[in-house]
Amino acid sequence: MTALWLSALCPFTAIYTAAPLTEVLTLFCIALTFYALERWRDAGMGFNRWLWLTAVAMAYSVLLRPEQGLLAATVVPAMLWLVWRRGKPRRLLFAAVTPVALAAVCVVLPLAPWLVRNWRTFHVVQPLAPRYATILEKIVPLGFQRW
Amino acid sequence: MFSIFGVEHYAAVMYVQCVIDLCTCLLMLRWQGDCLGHRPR
Repeated sequence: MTALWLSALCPFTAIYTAAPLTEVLTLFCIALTFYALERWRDAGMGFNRWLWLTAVAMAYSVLLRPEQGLLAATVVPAMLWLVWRRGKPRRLLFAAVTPVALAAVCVVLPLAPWLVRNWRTFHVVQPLAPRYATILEKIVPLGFQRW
Repeated sequence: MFSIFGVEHYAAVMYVQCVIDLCTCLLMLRWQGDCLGHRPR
């Protein structure tokens, strides 16, 4: 119950419920990712619904906000580490890593249409929004931002 | 959301976001219950 109250009363998350932004859904996806990851570990780290739920939560999170690639960049190595830590023989390790690899592919897959579209339209390899969320060839006011 | 409740009906969005935020809280509760090895009652 302490965790429930802490999460419900946390001002950093609660403040976003009053604004129509992507943060609320993103936070939900982050919580869902970690919950599904824990259940996937409990279920034996194979092909099961928790693996797909983890992958879908990460993929949707990346589509919501581009910096959520960091979520996948932390969770996928953690999944690999969990599989590696089980200490399977080397010949079985490939089979054990396959679910993680497929989850990683599922995260990248929704970005493929954007990659193709940006390549065809702008001739740049850009699967996510640029760092400063600007259109191509537009000057980024870095001095202003640093100030 | 706006197609269901109407354009610029931000209150409806806020209520739905409240529900999603509460679901996030419940997920975190279940997650920490799993991590600590017991299910919350």
